[in-house]
Amino acid sequence: MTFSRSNTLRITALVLRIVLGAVFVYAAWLKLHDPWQMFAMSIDSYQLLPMWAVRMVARTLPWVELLLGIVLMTGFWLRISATAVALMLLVFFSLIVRAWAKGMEISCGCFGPGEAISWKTMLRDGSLLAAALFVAAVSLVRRRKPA
Amino acid sequence: MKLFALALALLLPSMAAAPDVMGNAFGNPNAPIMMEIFSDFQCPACKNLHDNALPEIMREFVTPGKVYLVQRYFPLQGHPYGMLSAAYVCAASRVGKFEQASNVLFATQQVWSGTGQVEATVNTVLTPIEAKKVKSLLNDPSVQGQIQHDLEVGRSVPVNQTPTILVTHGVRRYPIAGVTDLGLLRSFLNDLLKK
Repeated sequence: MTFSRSNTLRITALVLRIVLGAVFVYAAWLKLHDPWQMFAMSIDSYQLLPMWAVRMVARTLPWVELLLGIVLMTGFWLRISATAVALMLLVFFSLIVRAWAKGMEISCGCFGPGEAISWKTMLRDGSLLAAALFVAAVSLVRRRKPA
Repeated sequence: MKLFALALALLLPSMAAAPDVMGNAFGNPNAPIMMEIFSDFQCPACKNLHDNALPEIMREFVTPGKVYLVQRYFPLQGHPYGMLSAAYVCAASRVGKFEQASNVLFATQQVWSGTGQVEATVNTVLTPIEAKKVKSLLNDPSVQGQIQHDLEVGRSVPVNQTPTILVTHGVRRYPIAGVTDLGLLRSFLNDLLKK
């Protein structure tokens, strides 16, 4: 039995989307486990948003992460969820790189409080972004193929 | 084994709250919340917290007995006078001048950070007799021991930067790294107090 290239891509995308979904659910659970102000303080430390927006994002983003994680793992609305996860990770990664480049000694806020931004954070989030882009690309390409 | 772990988890906050502090703890030790602030006297962000947020925290939470505040020494290696300033304040706390010494160091941080005149700065809030005693206490094992103890407590959190605020409520601990918005901190503490 031999695997074709498309089968390999499909299986890789399946594994990656389950991993990404689990990571999103885990990140959401850690944030929802803590009082919302903890995540709000992490967001505020990036010095990008006004306080009303900080509060709104802190209260809603973990639920969005949870929903996207579950949807991504189940495979429903894959094209939309994979693209949304890739876009979210692109934003997160950009913000982390910006903070690091500016020498801001702040907490990442990625998986709850207390994780200072370092090259490890960037490596991890960069890998997640690469995986999400791959999953999104595979889901979009498959959609375009004629039945 | 599970029972031991549970007992340890329940004991941890009270162990952390044990009086391993001298002159740098404020408020009611039996308050529902313990707040530990890990700071370095040469760190600008610590000055910001000390000057802007701390007076409000003291007024709203510490004085009414809602929060037990412990200021911990966490001199960073990158700050040439971090350890020396911590030693002077710790020694000053032995003559009852913790607040005065820390206040004057934060107030004039930019000056002594450049000149290195920590002793002269702290001496402005001490009597000549106190200044002499503080100088003799600098290398006292209890002073050095307290700073090392605070450093070890911080590393176990872990504290990666200063200031870091560690809020303990019941069995849960919440580390808050860096300068934080006072409104968020106030809202966070008030929500914890409602639980």
